[in-house]
Amino acid sequence: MDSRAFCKSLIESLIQRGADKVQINLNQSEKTEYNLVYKELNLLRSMDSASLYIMLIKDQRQVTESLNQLDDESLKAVIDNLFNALESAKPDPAFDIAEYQKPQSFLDGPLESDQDLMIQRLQEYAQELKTQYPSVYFDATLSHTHSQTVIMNSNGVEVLLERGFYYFMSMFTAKKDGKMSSMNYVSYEIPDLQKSILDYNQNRELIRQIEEQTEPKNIPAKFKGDVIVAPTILADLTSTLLQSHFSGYALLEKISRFPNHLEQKIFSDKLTVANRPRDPRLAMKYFVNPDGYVSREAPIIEAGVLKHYLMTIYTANKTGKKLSHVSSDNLIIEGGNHSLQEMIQNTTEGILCMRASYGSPGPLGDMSTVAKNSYYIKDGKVRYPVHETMISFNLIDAFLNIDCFSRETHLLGSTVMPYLKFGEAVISKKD
Amino acid sequence: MKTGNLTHAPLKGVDYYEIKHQENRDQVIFCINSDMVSNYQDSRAGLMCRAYKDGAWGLASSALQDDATLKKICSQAAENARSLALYRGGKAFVLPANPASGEYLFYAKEAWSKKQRCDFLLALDNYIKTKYPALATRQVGLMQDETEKHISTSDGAEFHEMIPRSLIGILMVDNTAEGPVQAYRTLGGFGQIEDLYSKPEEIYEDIDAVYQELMDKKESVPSRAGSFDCVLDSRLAGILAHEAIGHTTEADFVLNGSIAGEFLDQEVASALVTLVDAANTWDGKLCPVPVFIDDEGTRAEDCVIIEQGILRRYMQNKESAAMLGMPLTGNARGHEYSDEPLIRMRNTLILPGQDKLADMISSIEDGYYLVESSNGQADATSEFMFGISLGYEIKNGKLGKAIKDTTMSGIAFDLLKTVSMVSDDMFWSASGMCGKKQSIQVGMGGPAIKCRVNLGGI
Repeated sequence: MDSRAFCKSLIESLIQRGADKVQINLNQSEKTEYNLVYKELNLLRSMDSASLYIMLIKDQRQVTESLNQLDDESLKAVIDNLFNALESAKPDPAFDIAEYQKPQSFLDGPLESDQDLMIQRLQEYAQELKTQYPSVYFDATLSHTHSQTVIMNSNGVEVLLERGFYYFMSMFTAKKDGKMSSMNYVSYEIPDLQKSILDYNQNRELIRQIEEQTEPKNIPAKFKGDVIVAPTILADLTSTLLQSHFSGYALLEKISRFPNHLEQKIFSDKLTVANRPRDPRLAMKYFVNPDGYVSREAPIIEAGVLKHYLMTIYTANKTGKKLSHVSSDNLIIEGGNHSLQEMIQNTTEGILCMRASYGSPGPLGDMSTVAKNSYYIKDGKVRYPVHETMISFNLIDAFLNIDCFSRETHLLGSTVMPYLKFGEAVISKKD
Repeated sequence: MKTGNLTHAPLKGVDYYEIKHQENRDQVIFCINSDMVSNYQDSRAGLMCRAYKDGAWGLASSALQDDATLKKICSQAAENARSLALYRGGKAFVLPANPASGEYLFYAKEAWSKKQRCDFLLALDNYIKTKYPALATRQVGLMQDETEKHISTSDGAEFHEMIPRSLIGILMVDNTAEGPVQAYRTLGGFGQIEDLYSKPEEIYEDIDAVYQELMDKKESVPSRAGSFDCVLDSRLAGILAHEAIGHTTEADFVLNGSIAGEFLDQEVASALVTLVDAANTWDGKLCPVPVFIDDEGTRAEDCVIIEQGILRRYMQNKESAAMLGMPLTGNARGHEYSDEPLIRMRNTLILPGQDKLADMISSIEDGYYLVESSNGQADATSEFMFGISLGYEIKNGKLGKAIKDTTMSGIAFDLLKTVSMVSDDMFWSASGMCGKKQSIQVGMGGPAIKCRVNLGGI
């Protein structure tokens, strides 16, 4: 099927039927996935899929529908459905589609899978864990996806994106003499299979750590101290912070604590977070945002100063904020001046938090997290793995009271993050 | 969904196979301050075949639904299983069977039009706007999902089902000197929206309750960090049953080292605790996510996991039952047409006891009454975490101020041994989506429970 011609024809037919504005996103993909279950190759999946998103506006009423059937009968039914749904939709002058941009196309990643190498890498992973870490239980998934996406609208926007990527996920735990560790996991897109999976990021170190976490201890007593969070946790906390306070919907819902703070200093001047969809290190690049605009490379927070809100067309029109085309899909925080080892050495009392289990903080930012797969630090040294340890802090204050970022960074598919150290956290244990 | 013949082309040369034709349909209508910001429908349909050969599984799926595609994916699934088996070092098993057949289609008698649904939602919005005009933000949403599947297996099962779920979400935001606070509630459950409600007035009492909770949260104080005697409201019991205990007793977790693997037929909880994963019906009523036959064609049966404090059973699929030599339970479920069935909970509940909630609260001198959870996570050790989005202090047996958002945690098998009172009422939560490789609908329920809990705080 000629995807471009299909989308163009669909837009024309919707406009002819009476739509004022139309946007179409068509994605077609093939995925191959190998699974290790109970330490052995267990499942091979081959999947073809499609997804067609149609959004239309008429008399400033907007309706949207997605489907994965592209035959004439299904399309006719969904078009009828959309025009019927218009009758119940509420008009809103804020509904709109992207303005005309010069047509663009993007090609990224390995478009074809190397299935022999996929099996080889998974077998290496299983073999090394079984022989060198016999107390570790694990599952793993390694997949390759090839997708073609067309984004078009009735203003002439036309973006073509073809990409391929590998994705690896593994969950693991250790058990010795009936005692077991918490489970830990890794999960991210990887750019290629040129090296052993255990050599990506801290995979080997996490497996080593899990074996020594079968006999965790309680911290000696409740204390106020430092927390060093792993790059995966920092990625999640940063995304939570940005979506909670700087996204268009946070402004619309009036839950942001910083609704009119552009160019104001909000956080530590050590904090610079940028959206970098073209960073060559990334295995998953989000070149285009869902509105159809090409994503802009720009800092969101620079030296603690808010540079951009993360607006969609709708939320920008609704709030009167500028549409900056900056998203939070490819967040980058560059490494700092201290090694992780130096960060630990400079800690009087604290926690090295390798995984965090927490609920989304409310608008005020107060949150508590259970420290999983984590370690107690005392007088500059990692002492022992901990359990039943809770870290309570305020998310906003954590980014205000940054001590430092590590020199080491990890590539987590769509983001690059270092370790973060912040202070003033309450660390408590079960009595 | 147009159902066709899935059994016309038997697959040769494999030990077992299943063919699935499935469609997932979702609808979301969402309003913020009377603006209809989302008016959206989605459908995803396709065919899947999964085959088992010499200990390896092969799966193939496609969004195309014609006979030629069915033949193609069946052939591909068999080839995937055969080729993977060549690389596999593990044992092969004879998969057990308890095949069932049936038709379970739950459609509303008279479906509302899209306009009726929008009008229903806007009436809720208008009620909040009129009664509570000073709120910073109000949100109302209607979410409906329908899962229709037709499955045939090589060991003789065949069924067709359509299981709907409808939810109404209410969220309010107000400002304090410190910043915004919010309160929310999700209502609804099994069925289509027309099955659950006939007029907006039926929801006004819940709206008023959300507003009261928001006002309580405006005056909230931080919880203290540490361990306390607490009453977990019945709205929290379900997530305790699901996250803290349920996951550790899924047989794939057990095979991967879950601590529950060490405790079969041992005391793991107070004798007041009986925990069940109900298949489809409880106390004479359909559960939030009824499962009659699972995606491997196994007749779904209730699984009594903990019986009066003793760990009795694990939840199984064909492969785990074969590996552990235990009976099938009917817990194999896949969410989308392309998904392989995994061991998933269905409707996990703690059974009600004899106590009154008021007596449970009055029995605590210094502790907390924890009411609403924002999310939860589990671990194979049974260490769990729930975000607490609504709770109150208990001082000298009386409720005090609301507490700020916090987290509760513990080792579930330790916590359950501290259970000293169980209320005689019961609440089903129907809005759950459990994320274990695939996100899938689950029901969770239970009574209020008095136990010892770790809380985050100052």
